[in-house]
Amino acid sequence: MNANPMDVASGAEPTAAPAWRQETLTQRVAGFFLRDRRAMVGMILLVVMLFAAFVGPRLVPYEPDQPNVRNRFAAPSWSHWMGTDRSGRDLLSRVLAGASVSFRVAIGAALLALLIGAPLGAVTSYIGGLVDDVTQRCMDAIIAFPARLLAIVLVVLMGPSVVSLWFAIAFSSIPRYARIVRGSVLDQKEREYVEAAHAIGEGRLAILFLYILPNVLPPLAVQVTLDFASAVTVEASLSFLGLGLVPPTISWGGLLNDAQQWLEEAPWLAIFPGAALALTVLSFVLIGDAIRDHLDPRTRRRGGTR
Amino acid sequence: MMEALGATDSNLPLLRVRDLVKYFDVSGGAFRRLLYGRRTVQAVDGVSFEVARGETLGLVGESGSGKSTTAKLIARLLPVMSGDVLLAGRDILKASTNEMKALRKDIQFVFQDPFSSLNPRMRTEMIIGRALSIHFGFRGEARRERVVQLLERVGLSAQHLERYPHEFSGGQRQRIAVARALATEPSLILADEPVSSLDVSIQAQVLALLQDLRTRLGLTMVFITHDLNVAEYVSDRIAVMYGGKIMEEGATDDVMQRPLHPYTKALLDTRPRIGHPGQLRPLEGEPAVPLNPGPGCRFASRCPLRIAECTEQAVPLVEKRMGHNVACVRS
Repeated sequence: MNANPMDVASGAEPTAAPAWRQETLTQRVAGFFLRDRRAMVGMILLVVMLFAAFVGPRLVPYEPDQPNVRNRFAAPSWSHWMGTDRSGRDLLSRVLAGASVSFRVAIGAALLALLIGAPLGAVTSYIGGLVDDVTQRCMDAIIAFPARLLAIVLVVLMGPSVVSLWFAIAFSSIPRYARIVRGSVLDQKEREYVEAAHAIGEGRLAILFLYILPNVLPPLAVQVTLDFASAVTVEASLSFLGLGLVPPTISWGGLLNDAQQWLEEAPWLAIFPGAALALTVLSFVLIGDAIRDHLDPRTRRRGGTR
Repeated sequence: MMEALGATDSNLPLLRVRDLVKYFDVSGGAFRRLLYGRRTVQAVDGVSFEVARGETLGLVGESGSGKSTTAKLIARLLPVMSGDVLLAGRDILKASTNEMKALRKDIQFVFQDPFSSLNPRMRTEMIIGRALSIHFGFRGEARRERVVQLLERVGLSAQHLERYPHEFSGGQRQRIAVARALATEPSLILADEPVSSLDVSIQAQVLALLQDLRTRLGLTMVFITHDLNVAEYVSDRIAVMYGGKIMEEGATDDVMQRPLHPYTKALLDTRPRIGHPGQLRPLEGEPAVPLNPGPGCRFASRCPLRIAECTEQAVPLVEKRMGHNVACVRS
């Protein structure tokens, strides 16, 4: 392997025997979803929901807002798979339209919380001292409020729109990201490779972003996935209360709100949007839980079961 | 910069450490400090030594003797309480942040455990290349070429560039750590137990590598180890530390063949040697953790030759023979 003249010093050690070789990241991620049944089910569910949300609306023959007074409260049938509502609008089209709204709000909110919370936790914990203390107490204050109540207040203040929902929902989960990152940074910054980085002359910012943050990413991935799920439900409950997205924007919460007046006459109006909501949340939770268990050495099992 | 001439004077020791002191507060928070008073561990307590250009000093001692702390203080990886560290006449501890960046180039560190001193999420090229970017502004292809040269210098090759630390064995990782240290072309290398975490068969290879590099590149080294055999093999001079103080210091042969301090003698007795079966004599007692110690000799509580005088007053390091210093009232 080496044409180096040094004999003893050049090292007759074998070049990385198979035990040390590991799969690439892509292979590991793919392997994880194939081995863990929960993750696989969650992923399939999620892909179906995403497909429905972003491609589905183009495949259905009805506009979600197109009324048809001669066909009000039609039960599910071959022409209207999920039936129609009080104005004769096709429920399937409406659920699909609501799906894309749900995903846009949930993904936006979770990523926004990540983008604010993670750097906040990283920088303040790396600086430490008073900065860290003050930030942590602010985070405690946010956590002390019920998340939904906080979201309601914020959305009322900012007015109903997708962007204000992002901020309203993200705000209460910022502390979770800040804490996760803080814990990991405090752990990582005592590691020897950080000291080694100091020794070669790395600056503080370079150490934080080049060395520490990449090692903090796995727990963040879990949190983002679980946060998608909670953002979907928070958005739905806000819209259900009439505080989130208001008509003509279609959202699952809004559909459920409409449905409650006709629960006995037209139960499908509640069942289908409710099921869509439940399945979406389930897909994220399944994936998030599976990743968390996989990263936790106490529950990690070779090959993965369940 | 003070003593600018010193940098060119080859008679001057490259590294001069004077009265280095570092205490760690182990009171455990403000409340406990109030209840039980301040408790400090005197990890390094007045350590002084010099290392000449091209020389290797072996810093020997048990765990907790303060040898690693000493090295980290010299590299300014820990804040010092008092004392001076002069590298070629320049005071490292008083250097500003900017000056320190340049000084880091001159002092490099090899850590004990190559499993934790390499960032698990960086490829070899990046691990070594960062040092080149920081100090020489190397980038892209030029940097890659230089990294390959460094890898070859430590017995690895270009095929290892793209690998992550977990893909290497312990010995190979330590080679990478050495290559990283060499990247900045330092004049002084602080090696903190660089072979202690390696398999014995690999230890010899890494030691041979370090020796080879030392002679070819004219490196000056402070080599920290608890293993007397290793110290004897690599060092020109040996300093024996115990409880944060240097007990004995001198040329390797003097210290190994004619030890003056009872602690050194005890250490030598604990070491297994070929052809002397059954002569292993373990040292009685626990190694002293220097927690609020008295003024006297740190080794007194375990010393077979202890007299009243040992614990009453400080015992200075004095020259007993030519270039052979010892801190013991009984020697």
